[in-house]
Amino acid sequence: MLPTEQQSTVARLDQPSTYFKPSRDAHQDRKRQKQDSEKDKADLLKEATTLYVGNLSFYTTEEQIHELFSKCGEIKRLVMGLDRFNKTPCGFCFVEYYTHEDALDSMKYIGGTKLDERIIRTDLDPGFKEGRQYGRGPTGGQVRDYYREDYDPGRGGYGGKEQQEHTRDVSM
Amino acid sequence: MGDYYRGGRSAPRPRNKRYRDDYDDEREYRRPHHESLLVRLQKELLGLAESPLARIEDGIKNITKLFTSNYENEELRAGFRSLIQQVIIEQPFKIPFVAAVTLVSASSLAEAGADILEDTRKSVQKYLDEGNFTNLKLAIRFLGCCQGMYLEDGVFKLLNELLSKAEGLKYAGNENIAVELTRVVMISLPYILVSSGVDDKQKELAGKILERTSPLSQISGSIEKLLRPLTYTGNTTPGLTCVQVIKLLQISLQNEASRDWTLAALPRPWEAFKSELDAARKYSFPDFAIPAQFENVDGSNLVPDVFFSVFAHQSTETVPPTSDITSHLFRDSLNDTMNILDFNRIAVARFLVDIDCYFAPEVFLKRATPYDRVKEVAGDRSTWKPEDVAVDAVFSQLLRLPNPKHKLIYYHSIFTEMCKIAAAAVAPSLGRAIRFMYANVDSMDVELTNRFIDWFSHHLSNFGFTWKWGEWEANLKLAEVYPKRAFIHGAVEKEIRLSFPSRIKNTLPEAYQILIPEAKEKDIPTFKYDSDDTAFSTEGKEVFALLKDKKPEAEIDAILESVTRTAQEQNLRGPNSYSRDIYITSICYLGAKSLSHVLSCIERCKEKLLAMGQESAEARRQIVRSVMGYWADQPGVGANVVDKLLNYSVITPSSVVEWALCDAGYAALSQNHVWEMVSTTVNKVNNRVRQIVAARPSLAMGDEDDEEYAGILAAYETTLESSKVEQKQIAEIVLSSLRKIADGERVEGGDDDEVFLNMDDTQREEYKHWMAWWGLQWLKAFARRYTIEGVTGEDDLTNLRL
Repeated sequence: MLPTEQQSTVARLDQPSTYFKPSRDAHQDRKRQKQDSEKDKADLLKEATTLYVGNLSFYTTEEQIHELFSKCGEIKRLVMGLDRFNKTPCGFCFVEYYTHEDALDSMKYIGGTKLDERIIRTDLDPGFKEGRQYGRGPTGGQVRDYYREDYDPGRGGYGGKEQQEHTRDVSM
Repeated sequence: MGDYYRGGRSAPRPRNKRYRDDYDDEREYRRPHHESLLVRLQKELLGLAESPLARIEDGIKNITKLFTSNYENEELRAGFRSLIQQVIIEQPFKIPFVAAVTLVSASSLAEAGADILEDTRKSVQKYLDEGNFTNLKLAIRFLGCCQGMYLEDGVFKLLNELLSKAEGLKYAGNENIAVELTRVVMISLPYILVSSGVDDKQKELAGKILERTSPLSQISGSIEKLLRPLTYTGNTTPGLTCVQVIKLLQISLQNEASRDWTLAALPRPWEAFKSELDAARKYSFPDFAIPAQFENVDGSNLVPDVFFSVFAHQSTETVPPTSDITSHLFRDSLNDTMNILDFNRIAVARFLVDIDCYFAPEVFLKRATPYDRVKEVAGDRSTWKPEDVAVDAVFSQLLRLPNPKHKLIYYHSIFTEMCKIAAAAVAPSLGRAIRFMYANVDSMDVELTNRFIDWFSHHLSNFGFTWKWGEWEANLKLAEVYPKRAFIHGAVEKEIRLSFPSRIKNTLPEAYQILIPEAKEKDIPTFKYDSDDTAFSTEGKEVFALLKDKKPEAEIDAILESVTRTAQEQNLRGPNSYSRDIYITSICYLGAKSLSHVLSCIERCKEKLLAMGQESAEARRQIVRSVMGYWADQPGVGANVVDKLLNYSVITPSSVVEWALCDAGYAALSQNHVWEMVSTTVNKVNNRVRQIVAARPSLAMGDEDDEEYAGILAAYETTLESSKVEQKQIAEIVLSSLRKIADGERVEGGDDDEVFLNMDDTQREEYKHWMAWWGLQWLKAFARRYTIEGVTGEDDLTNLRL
């Protein structure tokens, strides 16, 4: 069949990325597929007013995030991602706007630019719910920080795994 | 994501590759890749003219051959034709090249050319019906480039019909739409006159068009004064023009006509195929139905643009002068590219950096030529720097009055990406633009000064906060109300808000360290009641302790009441204010750790706060005073807290406005955060009216006789009316207070006022002069807003001394 609607000649920066697609974990994958199909997910994001913001420094404050993201519209709520054990910021947050359009604009204009001198990542999110727990690794921070092998002073130095191994070495 | 990504060469293709982390799935990258003929054709067309290395004629030849020889392939034919229509409205720079593909295709397969013309005819009619003037302009431009395919007058027929419409609209008082249509016609002329169909008769037709556009481009309207980015003062850099684009367009087209339409800057990609084109079949120009009314178009959103350039004043000309049509041809395509493709700033930045690919060779100087070597490198050729032309256009959109077409941060992001793609070319150009604006900050519209501060600080935050601050050091000695000093202060303040004080301190030279005193570096400001010098310090500490321990409200109330009683007994002025200040300051201190902390405090004490606010207008104003007092060293945080209190209806918009214009000190109007507070608050009120107007319950909900519907409508009218009353009230407070300040009536305490203590007579007079100046600048900015909103009539503007 012929294409009826012409897609844009330039890629859009406000499309959801793989962030909200099935995770690498095959088991989780199957479990999630049972719960909701891909289509439902796209629908969930159609009106999304919340953004996941990643690759923040652990030291970046709510005020800094507010200062940058309010350039795309008034912020309804800002939820810092906290380390499960220490209750300190662990490098991500959710920014909720009043409108879907403001969230899309953040994707287009803020995602991939710097905050606190780090390139941050944004993704549409179906919305933060109290008690929502995911993406935290064995040491309480984000999974990506558990496996990370480089030294990142903005995110607590070496990754959680390396640190664990290091402590083990020392104790032996 | 599209099959044919066009994000530019150095831009990363899949987004997820840039941001790969634990959520991503590696398998997704390894898709088998089958490239169909259509995909190849699409890629070739989208890549046309993008590389200075590939010969454009070869590209056109390849595409044409692939297209016409596979014309029976239904999928390919339809896909390619719809892509052409899409490129026309999305990539304005490419129009002459896509038109050349069409011309050459038509010369080898008449049907192919005829089909594309028919597609475009449908598009033009659609855009006319929708009142989409940008798309209309671009589709007409494409037809103009194809003028050689038409018999007789061709596109001129449509242009003349549009002018008749514009004349009618102007006569009917619909000036903004008339100007927009006239602009569409005018900017189309050059493209017709560089097409393969050009001859003396065409030039004559163009001359006649210019005779008709001349009266149409003369616009009246007193709002023009309010739209000027700069007001002329003795200190303004000479050579600046703030004239409406439409007037300049008329002048420059007449200049070009007198030069026999040389139009040296526009590309003529069809020239290599001239002999084939002459033999091709010609068509009569189609008829179009021009709507009687452009019902979908809100004329008030089409305020005619005023020309603005940050490079117009230079001794070496690095951008075309406004008298040259080239200036407007560049601007028009650049502005459209930016405003159409806001969904991919990286692609936009790439187009802007590559601007020299899309015009005739030799129009521009080599990229990244340093400014001081321009004359030497150029010799007797063009001195126009491609990066200057692009940067100038982005500034014109960032600093567009009354409003930019997209959120300001979009234009920030274009600059960021341009600097990433071509730092060596773009960064020095930005530097010169910044210096120009800084030099003219004394005469710049105050709204633009604040946009400039916002952009400058945000831009630096993306590039390690490096700036040669040293060169502005002398201005640090000026009093805080001087615009240059206020700019520096505002920029540093904003940098801190995006970062943190000690980091910014490290990026500033020694002389600037005074801008970040120790108090600013404290994460949590001190609680003034901790000091015994503060009146009621004991009670202050007690209230804080009770709040902290979440003790019953009655205990707090008892202390607050005793404070008020004591104040009354001691005959203190405003006896209620002491207890309020204790309560509000305690909440601020308790919630000082972060925004969510203060929010949860406000949430917890909501009832009491609401009751306190309801006491009186003075009480609400005082709440703002206390919050801003606590956050004096980090006013940005204070402004946030005030905004939240406004959302909770603890205070009202007028409390914020009155605080800013009456309580916030003599230098308030020179402070960026005060501007932001008033501006945000006024916008909130205005937006509310707009939203209510837009949400008018439609008749479809019920019959007109329906009682239920009548009830809904009546309730709606009441809501609308009350929101308009509020809007009008705020407007009156804002405009009348500003008028007072502009007239120098703000100084209540006279020359003995504390601010003036250490000043001599000259300093005092200068200080007052600048206070009044800020008043006048603010007055201009808010008069503009309220005129656009229709709150104040144009008659009210005659009193402004602008």
